[in-house]
Amino acid sequence: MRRPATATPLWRDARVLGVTAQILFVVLLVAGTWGAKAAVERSMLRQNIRLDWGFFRHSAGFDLTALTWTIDLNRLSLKRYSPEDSYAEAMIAGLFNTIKVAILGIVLALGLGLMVGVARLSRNWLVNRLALGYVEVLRNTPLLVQLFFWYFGVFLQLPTGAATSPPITFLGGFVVLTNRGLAVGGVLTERFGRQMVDGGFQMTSEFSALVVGLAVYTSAFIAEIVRGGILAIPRGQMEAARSLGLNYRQALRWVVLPQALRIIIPPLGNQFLNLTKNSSLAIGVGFADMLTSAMTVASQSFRALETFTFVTLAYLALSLTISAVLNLVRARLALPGG
Amino acid sequence: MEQSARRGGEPIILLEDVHKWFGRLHILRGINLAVWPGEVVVVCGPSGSGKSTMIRCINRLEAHHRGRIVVDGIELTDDLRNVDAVRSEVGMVFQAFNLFPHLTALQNITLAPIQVRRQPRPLAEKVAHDLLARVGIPDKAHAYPAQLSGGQQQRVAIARALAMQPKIMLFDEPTSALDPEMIQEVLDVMRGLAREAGMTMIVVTHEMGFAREVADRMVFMDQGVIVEEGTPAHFFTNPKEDRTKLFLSKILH
Amino acid sequence: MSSPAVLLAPPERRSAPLEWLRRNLFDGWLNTVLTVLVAACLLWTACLIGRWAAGAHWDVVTRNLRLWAVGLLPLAHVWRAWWAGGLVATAALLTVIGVRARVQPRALVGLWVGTVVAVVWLFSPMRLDQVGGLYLTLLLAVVSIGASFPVGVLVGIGRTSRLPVVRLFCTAYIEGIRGIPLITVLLWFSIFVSLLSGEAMPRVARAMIGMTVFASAYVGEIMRAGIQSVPRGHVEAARALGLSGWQTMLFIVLPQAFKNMIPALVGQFISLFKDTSLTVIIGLSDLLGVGRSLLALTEYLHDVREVYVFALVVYFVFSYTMSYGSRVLEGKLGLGER
Repeated sequence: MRRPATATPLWRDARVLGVTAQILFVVLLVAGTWGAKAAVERSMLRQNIRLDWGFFRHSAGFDLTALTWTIDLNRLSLKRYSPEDSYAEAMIAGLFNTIKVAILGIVLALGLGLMVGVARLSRNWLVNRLALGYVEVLRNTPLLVQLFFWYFGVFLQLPTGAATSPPITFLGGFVVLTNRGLAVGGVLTERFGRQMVDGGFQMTSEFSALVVGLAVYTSAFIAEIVRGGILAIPRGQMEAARSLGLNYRQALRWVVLPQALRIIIPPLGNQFLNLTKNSSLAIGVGFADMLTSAMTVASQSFRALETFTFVTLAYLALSLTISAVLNLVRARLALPGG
Repeated sequence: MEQSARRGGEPIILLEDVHKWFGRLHILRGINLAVWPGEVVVVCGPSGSGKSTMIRCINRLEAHHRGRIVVDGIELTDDLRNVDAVRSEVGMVFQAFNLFPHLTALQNITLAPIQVRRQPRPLAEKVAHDLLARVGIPDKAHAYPAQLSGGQQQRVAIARALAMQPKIMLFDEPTSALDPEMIQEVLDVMRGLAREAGMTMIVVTHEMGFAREVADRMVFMDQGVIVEEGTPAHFFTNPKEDRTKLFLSKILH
Repeated sequence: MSSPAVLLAPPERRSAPLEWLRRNLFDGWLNTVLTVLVAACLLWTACLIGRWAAGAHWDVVTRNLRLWAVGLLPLAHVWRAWWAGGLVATAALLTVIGVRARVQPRALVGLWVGTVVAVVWLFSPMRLDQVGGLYLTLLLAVVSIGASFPVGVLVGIGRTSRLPVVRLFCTAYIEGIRGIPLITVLLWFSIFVSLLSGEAMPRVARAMIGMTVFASAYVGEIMRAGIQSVPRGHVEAARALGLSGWQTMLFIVLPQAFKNMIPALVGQFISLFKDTSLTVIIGLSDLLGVGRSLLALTEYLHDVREVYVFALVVYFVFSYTMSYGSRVLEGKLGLGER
């Protein structure tokens, strides 16, 4: 190993090569961005578009029944949305709707998914196959088509509430279904020759179809996660528990499920995230979530670029928040030494 | 048989013409074995000879297809009540430890006493601490399995089985998954169990030094049958069957 | 002392149908009740669906088969579409046979270059926006799958790069795209490309770019997981043998990573196929779009369920075939069982 004490030639020095490659990458990136920016600016100039972020303060002037709560940006308090409110407040009302859909959808999807997942593990062949069919059909068809089916093919085909097609009621009128939506705990009254619901908790057809469609679709994925998580526990765990005298139910409750839960929770969180992002398909059924409100704002104000930047960043923030919460949960669940 | 003549009384474990199949594979081909209370039986034999399957049948982790298995006067059938009764009398230690990774050593030990025997928690924990001291790791009560060495894990597993106060302990190759330097600490615990507590034990193992020292009886299995059995002195110095001789020559160097 | 080792046949014939029924359907009274209940529900549902299907107006499907297949593509161009599809299918078939027969990789590359040139020539006289129906759905899926694979592989490698600038950029791209819904990506490409460059770029091409940009991030993430699944020891062994960084990546890491990636990758491509339906929202007339435009005609106004059920079935057939094929492939490669 006789090496002259001179420095390594530049073209063989790993560090120099690395730095050069990065500089080259940055230069290309900057050049690309700058080129794109120039092109955008030129065409914006040509079409007379100017960015103006101040328009968010202008009055929105549109009303949508589904837009209910928003934040008063002057006093930073909750208030009911009204058409005089600003564009920004309209979009916040949309964000609230997105969150509402996400939470309700997640709760429903989790319940359904757990049921189907357990059915997938059943020793009863018929129950097992039925659950498998449920999962396969839902996972192998697009969510948007399912949503259209739920909205146009199910919820809008429900009885109108007129004398010839009376509303569907459950639990003695506690739950009422018509083509205007689902009402829980209201009072049926007759108006304009139609039976309508006053008071109670009312959900429009758009909202119901969206929540049901999202929940049913996601439940199929959750079912497979639950099944996989339980099957991933080594057989020796069940055997050890049984040989200690625990019966099947106790072994499941104290040994298998607590471990399965640790495996299930991370992918489950990803499904919650997916459901939240998928709620943007509300635009297909016309429910005023964040994206739909933004589209309305964009078409009224002709400020599409600004509106879309805002809405994209809002989704990104929502996703990152959910991811951060998931990482916290994951860290809390980690076993010491594992 | 010679054993019953020598000991008298009822055997605590009795296997009569036990057969088992895995699909079309005939894994147990007519096992006859009787074990008396307080006896330590060491089972050895080449892999695939059915040793593990046999002791897994004794607490019905596997169901046998033909013949009779009677444990402490209870016959193992499809009756679930009998199975549960037998399992709470028979402790089992596995090759892969099978500790519950989400519970601490202490919780591993107290789970069954609290859930099955309905013992109050303070009592169960006191017993668990005593057992941990007995297996030589009194300071590891609050460690999780992943924080313990293999030898320590296996000793917790033994303590876990003992917490149910079993009359019989089954050991399924308890030291095969351990690093060499940890084998002794586990064998020491088993030795103490046999000598001081007079526990009835069936041990599947290839640790012939341990067998020679502790076993009351050696059982050699091959191809699903018991080929030869006898006292260690007799078994190691003067085996009758050729298959036993061949096996011993391989394993004793 | 030793008993004779007699080989006996198993005592019971497990495959007897009655035994199977008892074990899988009528094992204990709880299971029996479950079986009867589920069977009754299934029969009732099957009757309902059967009655509906028999009375439904399938004219909307049977009379418009060409529309469902290729959309509003002019009759003069239909033969070009079929030839292009046929060529790609033949090339795919030849590739499968070629891989089996261990043909020179160069021959396969040549085959595909030839196919692509021929397809481009066939497509040259027709406008991309004229294509529709199932053909457009498949075209979108094939192009965005084909394009997102190489881009995703590069991004995934960049994500694991030693160079911090490259790694940062790739991470930001992957996490940024994964944080927002596909529909926002499509809207960005659909609205702003037209805002900036007019109608120069066909809408179908914009959708293809949007889907590729979206899917590449997911492929990149799968790639990263695949690369990290290769044991460190293999990289160290390769470097110890004197292979360079690029050679190690090419000959040691990537082949193993690809094998581990196959299930996730196929899942991603199936979901991309389903996601092509979202292009309806930006105004493309793919399979779902054709259905929706048929529903706008007065004569089919009430055939909502027929249209969506038909669309669901078509999507299901393609998607299920893909997932079934991937399961067969996984079984052959012995993946997932090590």
